[in-house]
Formats: sequence, C-alpha cells, structure tokens
Amino acid sequence: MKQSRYFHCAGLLLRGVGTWLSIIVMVTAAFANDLATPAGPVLLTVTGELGKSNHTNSALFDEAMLAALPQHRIETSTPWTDGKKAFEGVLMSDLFDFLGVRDAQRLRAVALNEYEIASPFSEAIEHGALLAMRMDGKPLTRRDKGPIWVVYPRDGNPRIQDERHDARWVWQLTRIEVE
Amino acid sequence: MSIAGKKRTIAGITGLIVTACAVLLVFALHRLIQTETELATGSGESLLYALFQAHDEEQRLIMDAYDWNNGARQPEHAERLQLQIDLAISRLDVVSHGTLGRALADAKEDGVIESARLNLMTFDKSLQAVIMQEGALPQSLLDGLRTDAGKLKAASTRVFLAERDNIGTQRDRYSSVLWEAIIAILLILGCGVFIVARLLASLRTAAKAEDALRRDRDFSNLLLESSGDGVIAFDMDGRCTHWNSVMGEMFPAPSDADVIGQLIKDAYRLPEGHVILNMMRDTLVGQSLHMPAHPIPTGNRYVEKFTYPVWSGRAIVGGILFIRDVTDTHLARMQLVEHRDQLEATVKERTRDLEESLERETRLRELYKGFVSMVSHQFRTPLSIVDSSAQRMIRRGKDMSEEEIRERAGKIRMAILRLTRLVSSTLNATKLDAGEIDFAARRCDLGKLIVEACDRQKETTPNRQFRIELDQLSDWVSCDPLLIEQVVANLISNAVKYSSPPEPIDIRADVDERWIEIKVSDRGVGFPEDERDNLFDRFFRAKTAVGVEGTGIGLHVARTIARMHGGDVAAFQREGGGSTFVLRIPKEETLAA
Repeated sequence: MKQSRYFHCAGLLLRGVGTWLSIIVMVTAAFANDLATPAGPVLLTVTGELGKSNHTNSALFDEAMLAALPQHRIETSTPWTDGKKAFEGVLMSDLFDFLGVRDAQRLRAVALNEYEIASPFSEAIEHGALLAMRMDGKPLTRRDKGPIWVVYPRDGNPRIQDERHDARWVWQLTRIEVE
Repeated sequence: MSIAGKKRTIAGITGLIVTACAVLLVFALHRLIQTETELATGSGESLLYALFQAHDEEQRLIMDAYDWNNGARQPEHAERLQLQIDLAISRLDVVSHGTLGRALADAKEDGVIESARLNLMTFDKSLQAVIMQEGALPQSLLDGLRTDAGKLKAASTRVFLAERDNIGTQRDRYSSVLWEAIIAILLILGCGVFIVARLLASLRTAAKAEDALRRDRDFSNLLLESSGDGVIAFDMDGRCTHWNSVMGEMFPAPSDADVIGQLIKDAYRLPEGHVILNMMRDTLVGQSLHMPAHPIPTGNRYVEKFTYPVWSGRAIVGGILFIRDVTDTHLARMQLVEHRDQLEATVKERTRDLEESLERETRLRELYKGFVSMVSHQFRTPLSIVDSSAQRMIRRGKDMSEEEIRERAGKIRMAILRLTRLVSSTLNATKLDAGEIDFAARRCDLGKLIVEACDRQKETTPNRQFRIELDQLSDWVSCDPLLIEQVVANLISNAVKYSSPPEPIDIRADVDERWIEIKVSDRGVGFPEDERDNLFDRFFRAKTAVGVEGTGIGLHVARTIARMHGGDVAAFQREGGGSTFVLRIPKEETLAA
C-alpha cells in the first residue's frame, strides 16, 4: 500500500510540475512497459535492475499477475503457526527468472508495517524462498500475515532452522528491492 | 611392598585418574551441552518484541482514529485506517500462535491479547460503518483501545521484567555451570599433569628397559659372534631374527642387504622344498633335527646342521639353526675309514691266501693218504705175485718144467702189466691235473667211438653183454675223441668191474637241445649214497669197491675231461640196484657259442 501511496504522490507532483513532463514520463514508462499493467490492487512491487518492468525501474503485481506465475507448494511447520502447514504461492526464483533478474547480490524485503530485512540474493534462491499467498488452501489476508508471506521449507533444512534466518520470513510483504 | 605390587598400585592409580579425567570431561561437556540447548530455546525477547509491535500498531490505530475524528476523512485516510486495523489484528494474531503464543500462555498473558482482539473486532465493526457514513468513531471505543494499549504495555513490562529475571537466573545458572566446567577443567588439567608425569616416567622406564634390552642384545650378539658355528635364528614366519658373521662367511647371502628381518627363503633365494626350508618347517612344529656331515654345494667343505625350536613358556616362538664346519674332522674320519678298509682288504687277502694254502696242504695230505692207501692195496698184490713166483722159481730151480716156468713168468708179466697200468694211469691223472694234456675238439662219430670201446672191453671180458641204444645221437659230435674215448672206456670198465655176469650193461644216449648225455648203467654193487660226492675225488674208493682192482683215479679223470668239454660226469644210484654214470657234454652249437 505504501508503494501505491508513493505512486499517488508522484502523480500529484507531476501534475503540479506540468502536463508535458507527465506525458514524457508516461511515454518513458510505456517504453519500459513490457510487463502487463496490474488491473487490481497492487500487492507486490519489485524494484532494481529488471529485465521486465511495468513502471519506472519497477514491476508491479496484482493478485492475478502473481496467480499467473508458476505455483509451487511446500509443507512445513513454522515458529509462528501450530502444526504443519501447506503453503502455496510463487517461488522467488521463478519470480526473478520471470523478471529477468541477473547478477543480483542482495534483496531487501519490506513489509506493510515498514519492517525490512536484507539478505543475500543467492541464499533466498538456494533455500527455496516462496512468496506464499495461501495457507492450508485459504488465501492469506493482511490480518493473518498476508497477502504475501515469505516462507521457506524449514523442516527439511537444518541450516535455516535458526532465529536469525527466521527474521527473513517477512509477512505482509509489499516490496522487494533487488540490488 | 614388592616392586610388582608397587607397579600394580601405580597402574591402579593411573587408571583411576584416567577414569576420573574421563568422567570429569563427560560431566563438563554434559553441562555445557545442556546450557547450549537452553541458550537456543529462549523466546522472551521475541515475545517482548511482538508485544511491542502489537502495542505500537494499536497506538498507531488510535492515532489514525483520532485523526479521522478530527476531520481527516479522505479515502486515503479510510484506507490507512483499514490497513492499520489489519496490522493491529495481525500483530495480535502473531502473538497468539506458534512459539510466541505458547510463550505468552506460559507467561499467563494470553488473556490480555484475547480481550484486545475482541475489542478490536468490535472496533472494526463500527469502523466499517463509520467509514461508509463518514461519521465519527465513538469515544468509548477509542478509550477501549487506549485501555488495551495500556494493558499491552503493562503486559510488555511484565514480560520484560520476567524476562530480565529469567535472564538473570539463566546467567546465574550459566555462571554456575561455567564455574563447574572451569573446576572440572582444572581437575582435568591436574589429572593431565599427573598423566603426563606418569607418561614421562614410563618413557624413562621404557628408555631404561630399551637400554637394558640393547645391552642384552649386544651381549647376545657377542655370544653369537663368539660361536665358531654359523648361527641363524628365525621366527614363526621364517624371518631371520639373529645371525652371526660365521654364518655370513659360510653362506654369504646372495643379496647384500642385511639378512636380519628378511625371510630366510628370500634372503638366500631358496626354492620351495629346499632342505633348509624343510628343516625349518619341522623345527617350528617342535622337532630338533640333526643333519650329519655332508658336502655343501659351494666348495669342498663339509658341514653338519642342527636345528632346535625356541620355546617361550609352552609355545614355540621360532627356531635356531647351527651350521658347523666339520671339514677337517670329516676328512680325517674319511681317511681313517679308508685306512681301515685297506687294512681289512689286506687281512682278507692274506686270510684267503692262508686258507688256500691250508686247503692245498689238506688236499695234498688227502691225496697223499689216498695214494699211499691205493699203492698199499693195488701195488702190493702184483708185487706179492711177482715175489711169490720168483721165490718158487728159485726154490724149484732146475726142477721146473718149461711149461711151469712159462706159467710163472706169465703171471709175473701180468702182474708187471698191472703195475705198469697203475703207474701210467697215475701219471696220466697227474698230467691232467697239471694241465699238461692238450684239448683239441673236432668233429667225430661218438656212436662209433662208443661201440669200439665196447668191442675192446669185450676182448678182455667176452662173457659180458652190452645193450647199446644210440639212436638219438647225431652223426657227428664235437669233442676231443682221444679224451672222450678214455672217459667212455673208463665208465664201461667200471660197469664191468662192479657188476657180475650175466647182468647186462646198458649204454644209452639222450639228446636235448643243449646237451648230449651218455648213460652207462650196471646192475652191480652200486655205491653208498653218502659217498656220492667223494666218488670223483682222486684215489677215492667206495666202500663197495673193496676187493676190486682200481686206483680211484678213473672217475676223477673222467670228470676232469668232461669239464674240459664244458660238461660233467655225475653218478646216480640205479633203481633196482647198481649205478648209472652220466657223461654230459654240450652239443656242438652250444660249444661253438
């Protein structure tokens, strides 16, 4: 939501500066726009050096666009839930492949409540980070760690069963900054 | 206390210390691992953080709600309120599930969260309605949220204090564990010092023992070296363990490398089944062996080998092989044996000469006795005839008629003839014995020879009958006719002499592939069986021959002649009385061969 707010502010600013500048920006945006524009509310914004984008140096996703990406399912227990849960969503690696992200070193995940954490890009891919949107078949909402929760297949991998790594399980994810 | 007892005590103490060390180590590790596990399971901080977050989101919601009530009622404000209530609810959700939920329940603060959630849900319901109507939120709800925020804060404080207590307790526990570990490590260190000291002491003892062992070994080597014999000792694998230089001189190893430590089989390149390997094998199963003096393949030396198993308690641990150079002794003994053999041969030769001389002497004596006996019997009779005739002629003188004189002279002449014959046959035998008779075999008609001999016999004894059967005899036989004629005549005259008319005399020839046998049988007095072997001795007369004129030379001559032909004359008693004499000579083919 922060991102949409920012977009809104930028729009007001542009309107304030002049319509022609606005047109140029729109055209520039249109040039980079090889990714469909989200139709519904934007759930996720990815920024950084992307091969595909639909906004200035960023890619905006609504629910339908995320649902169109390959869906993946993992089952794992987590420190924040009781019992084993089934998560469904998009693998971070699939998302970055889709966006044509190459040679990234770090990624910074930002949540709706401005929680943010940076982690090595390769580790997120290697450990199979999943942008979960459904838990046990039910869509995640903002009231229960949704709409996007970064989850890892924690049960099968002792290397990530650690408090420090647990901090990377960002819930209410809204933005990913790739560096 | 004895040395062994002291050693046992020290070993016991060392064992005890090592055990204590291990126990302490295990204890320290156990305590540390326990602490490590406790370290990993602390969740107080996380709970505190989550409560802080929940409190913060609640506060923000309250602030946004006041903004709304104060007039900020744009759609973005509504949206912000929506987001904020979602966030506030989600924070409560976080602290009521999973490990945080459990930690909260443990801290008995879950009631706070539950009531806050209920209040939020009520607030949410009225919020949705207020947004739709763009009206103001009731102050009571806002006050409720403020109360909840205060409760959350108070809960945070309690959790914080509890956590601080918990951390303090934990720190105390860690501290005590650390002290336990430090004491354990100090004790381990002490044990370590003791163990190192023991180790150094044992090393010193081991060094001393090795020194002693080396001295022993040096002494053993001196012993080995001072032996004049080659000595080589080996273990159960046949590996050389000791070796002296005498052995090296006697049997230099083909490989220049040190023999000690090598398999003897390899060091000397002995093939499988070599006598030394066999001896070693037998020695290692407990046999003590001795191989008498024998030459060694290299050089003209003689050695003796001895092997003995080496026992350690009741088990064989190896063997030892001695090789003694016995060349000098052996050669001396061989020389001695040679001398003895020579001496024995000489003695034997001398003895044989002496025995021969004795036998010759004895035979001569027997001959002499026989001769004297023969002469006394055979020569006396004609001589007495001559003497009595001469006496009568002297006594009668001129009174003797011419006829009587002729008769007496005839008797004298007969006697002289007999004497002459005796003398000539005796001389003949002597010549024969001396090898002065020439033997010249040629083809002759043996049958005719026999018949003529019979005819001649008939002239002197016309009243005897001869039954001659010579059908098997071939036309000619190879022999010396003069000598064989003597044999045949002798056998015929014997048959006539020792039998009386009208008993006939059988003369028969039998021929097989090798021999010609002339058998002359009479039905006369025969001879005693026990004298059969003596019949052919010179001058021997059988008991049955008493009163019959004879020299005892005839059969001897007959046998000598037959043997010159490669044959023999044998005597048999005839069934039904009398005797059979068989002359056997080889057929010409055999003779020629």
